[in-house]
Amino acid sequence: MATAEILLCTEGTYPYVGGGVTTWCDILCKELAEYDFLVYAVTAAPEARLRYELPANVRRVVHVPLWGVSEPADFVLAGADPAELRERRRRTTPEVVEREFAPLFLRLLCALAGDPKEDDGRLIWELWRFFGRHDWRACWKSEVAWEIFAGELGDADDVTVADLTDALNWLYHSLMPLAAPLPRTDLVHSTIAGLPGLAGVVAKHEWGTPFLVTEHGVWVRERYIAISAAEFSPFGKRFLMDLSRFVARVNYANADAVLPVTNFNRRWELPYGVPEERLRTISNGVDPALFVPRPKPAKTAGRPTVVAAARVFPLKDMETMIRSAAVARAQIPDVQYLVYGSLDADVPYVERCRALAAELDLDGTFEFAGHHSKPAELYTEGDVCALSSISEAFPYTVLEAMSCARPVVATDVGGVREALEGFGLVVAPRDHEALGNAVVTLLRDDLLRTQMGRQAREAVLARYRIADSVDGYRDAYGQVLSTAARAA
Amino acid sequence: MTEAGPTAAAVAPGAAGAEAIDELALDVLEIAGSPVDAWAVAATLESRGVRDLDAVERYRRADVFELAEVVFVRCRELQEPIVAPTLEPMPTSLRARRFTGHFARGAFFFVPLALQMISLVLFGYSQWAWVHFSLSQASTIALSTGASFVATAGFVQALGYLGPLFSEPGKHSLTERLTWRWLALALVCSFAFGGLLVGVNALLGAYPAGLVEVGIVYYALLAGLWLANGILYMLRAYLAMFLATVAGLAAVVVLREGPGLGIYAAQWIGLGLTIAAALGWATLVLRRRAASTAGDLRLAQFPPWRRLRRAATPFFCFGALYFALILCDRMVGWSAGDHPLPVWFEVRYELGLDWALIAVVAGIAFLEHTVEAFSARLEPTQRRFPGHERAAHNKDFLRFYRHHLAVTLALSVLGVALAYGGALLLANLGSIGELGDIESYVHGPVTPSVFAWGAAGYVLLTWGLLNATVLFSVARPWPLVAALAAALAVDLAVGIPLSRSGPYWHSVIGLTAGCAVFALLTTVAAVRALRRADYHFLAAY
Repeated sequence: MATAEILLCTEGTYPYVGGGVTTWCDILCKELAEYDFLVYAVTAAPEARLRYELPANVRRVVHVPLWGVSEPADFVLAGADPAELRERRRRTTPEVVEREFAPLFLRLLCALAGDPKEDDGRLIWELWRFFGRHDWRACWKSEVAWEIFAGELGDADDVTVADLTDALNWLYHSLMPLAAPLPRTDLVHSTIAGLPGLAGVVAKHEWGTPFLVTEHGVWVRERYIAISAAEFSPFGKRFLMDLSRFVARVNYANADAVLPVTNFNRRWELPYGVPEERLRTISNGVDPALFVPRPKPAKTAGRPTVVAAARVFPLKDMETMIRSAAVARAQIPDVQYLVYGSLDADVPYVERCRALAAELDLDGTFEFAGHHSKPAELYTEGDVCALSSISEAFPYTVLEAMSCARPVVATDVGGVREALEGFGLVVAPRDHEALGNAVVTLLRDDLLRTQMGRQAREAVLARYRIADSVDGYRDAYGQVLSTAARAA
Repeated sequence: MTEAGPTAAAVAPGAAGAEAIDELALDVLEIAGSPVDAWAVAATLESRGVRDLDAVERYRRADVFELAEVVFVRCRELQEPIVAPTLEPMPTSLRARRFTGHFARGAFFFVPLALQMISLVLFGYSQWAWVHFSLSQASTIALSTGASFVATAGFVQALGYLGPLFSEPGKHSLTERLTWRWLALALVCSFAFGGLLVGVNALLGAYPAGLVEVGIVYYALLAGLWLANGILYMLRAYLAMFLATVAGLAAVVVLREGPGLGIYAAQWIGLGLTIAAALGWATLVLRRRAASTAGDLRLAQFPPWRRLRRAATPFFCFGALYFALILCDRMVGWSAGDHPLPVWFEVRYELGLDWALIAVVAGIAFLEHTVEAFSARLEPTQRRFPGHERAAHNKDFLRFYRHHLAVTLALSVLGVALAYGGALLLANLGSIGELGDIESYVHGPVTPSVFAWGAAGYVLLTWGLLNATVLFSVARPWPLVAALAAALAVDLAVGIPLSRSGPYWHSVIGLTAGCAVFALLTTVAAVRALRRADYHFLAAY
């Protein structure tokens, strides 16, 4: 029997950028060795370095950059037959744009305005089919498209010419997955209910391919946070949110199952229209044979130590972590905080954090320790593990620390409480006093610390093992594939 | 809460938490500006650490979503009305400073040429001219100079477009690779073109071997010079261009005035030194920038070659046709009549055109300011006009164009008057350095007429170049190429018959006619583009 192929759709993660989702993808591909994977990786830019050695069952990576390319022929269609591309340009006359693209475009604008009729994904599929034969740039940058766009959206006084230009450019780039050739597979599994999931929507309509969506963070929620805080005009924010909402709705409407990694995500997914019967939580898992309890190594033995594992960027709220170190040091003078993780994600933010640490005179107390050569051993360098994020899904760092029998002090975001209830201390986000005092509580109480650590390890062995998580996906794959086989 | 929007959950006056709600609303407004809906408020509240627990305990609401509905309503009440941005007039002193800087940069392009002329006046020679060249030598070198321009101009223009494509987004390693590959390609093509000319001469036997050898060396060195300067221009290393020229000229002077080296050797060494200095500086700059390329940008790859070729082709055509247009009248005029060589250098004609070129320095320098002012104006103007006032937006750009056209033409005409008056003054001075007495030229039968027609042509050309800045800004190079092709055709169609039926210098009338066609066609294209500026700014990027 032929090996089933899975199209694994990612955005800004595997296999180009490290982090929790990438770790999850790596585990999934390696543990589900009975399947072959093609990775459909949507990224911001075409320049991306492979961060992971791809396992043998990852056959290919289809890289789809949204920005940094002026048209699909620059990248996703770079390998296409030049004659075919010339033919597409020749075929895309102004008459064809008016007759065939314009109606699709109008439907898209209605969909962005909230018309639920297009949530079934048919429009997305039709656009993808259309651009399989026509030139992307010639359509989106046509006078017809501009007149329609400006006419439909440009009436209000607060919508400027710049707003309209920016918005149409955003559409041009964001929807570029619809210009990319799509490999046919047995199943599409998107790691996000966002732009990469459009591949699943297309495959569903084109070939009846079953489509699964896993949500680590809820994409539409994260888009709300990012867009709200960005320096866009009010129209720009509204437009981007309309686009994000439509994309999320289309993903949810076409997914055979939505598989969040934490029950916390259901709070958004249910009101956004995912039917309860299609919603199933599959928690993340770790390898308890790799992340094992160990005594502290010589370099940290004898000194109260807090470790953290995180890529340093704003969502991890290192400023709260740093301030909590000052709170802890006021009570335990020789405490030390070691933060392991990439410092490349947001260099200006790292500099701000370093400046804050210097301002609080934390030299010798707080250290950005960078990359750890043996990630499985970093948690056991500390007595306690800390996490200060303002947004999380079901963080691996918490599970890994629990597996190493290290109690966790963490902010109450995402699925953290779900994981830690009873085996760690949860504090309100951005509350550095509470975080620092919780750290002190654990550092001073050996019995409590030991007990919590042991219980945390037991919880991992009971329900947060990789095998449990992987079996969940194995079941999900098996179900949808057999349903699809019967339907065929 | 539905996805369509918030329900109208009101905060009862005096209810517990009203102040706390206001505090949340102000926090949300500060982070998110005007939230688009209650979902945005919910997400923002969660990002600020508000949990369902807090919604219940602190704010007496069932969960974050219900709290968000209330906060959203309050945000709408508290937010300040959004005011459309106004284009603040720039302070006069800043405008003057910017204008001076841009104008100086534009004029700076003429400095290398001016240095050649000054050297000619002071010493009687420059890097490729000498007052004592025989007419055969001067004719050969003039032909080599013209051929080197035509052979390299397209590559220089295309590099000026391709280089920033990579350097502006920070892909400096690609800019470095592109530059050297492009230089190699240009050199190969230039040498092939030169070889073709030599081959044609071998068939026709028009130029004797001695002159051919000299011609080849000047052609090769000048082609190298234009390409090296083209790289510095792409890198915006204007000072380096100036210093490299000074170094080369200084070498010629030192070698001539010191050991008394022959003119050929001195000039060839001088040209070689300028090329080496320019390429050396370019190497340093490109290397330094490539080394500074951040993170994953170091992995940047070229788009497919066919894409680069397609993008660069109109700029290549523009460069080649532009120089063909401004040089072909010389070739047409100098090939008329019976002379020892097919193209016979005419001093009076050349002086007339050089005189005319000086006249339009100010007009062309002003174009640099136009380019910068247009770029600076783009976004603020787009932000100033609502989407339903696109016609007014486009009219604003047309106004800008008319204003700058008026100033450009005024400066050009003023320049013509000054150049004419200046030359008359100089003629009265008697001998000017090594050039000798120019009075016979200024008041002679050919030079003033060539100056008049040439100046008219160059003024029209400057008009066309203004239109070119508009068309390049909206990424519409093909109308420019078409206009240049038409202009070149008219130049030849007018210049050839006139220079054959009348005096040879009537070929300059072809230049004027060609430039008039260029100005007319590009004006139509530029105005048409500006009338739809709103669309073209979208399509360009």
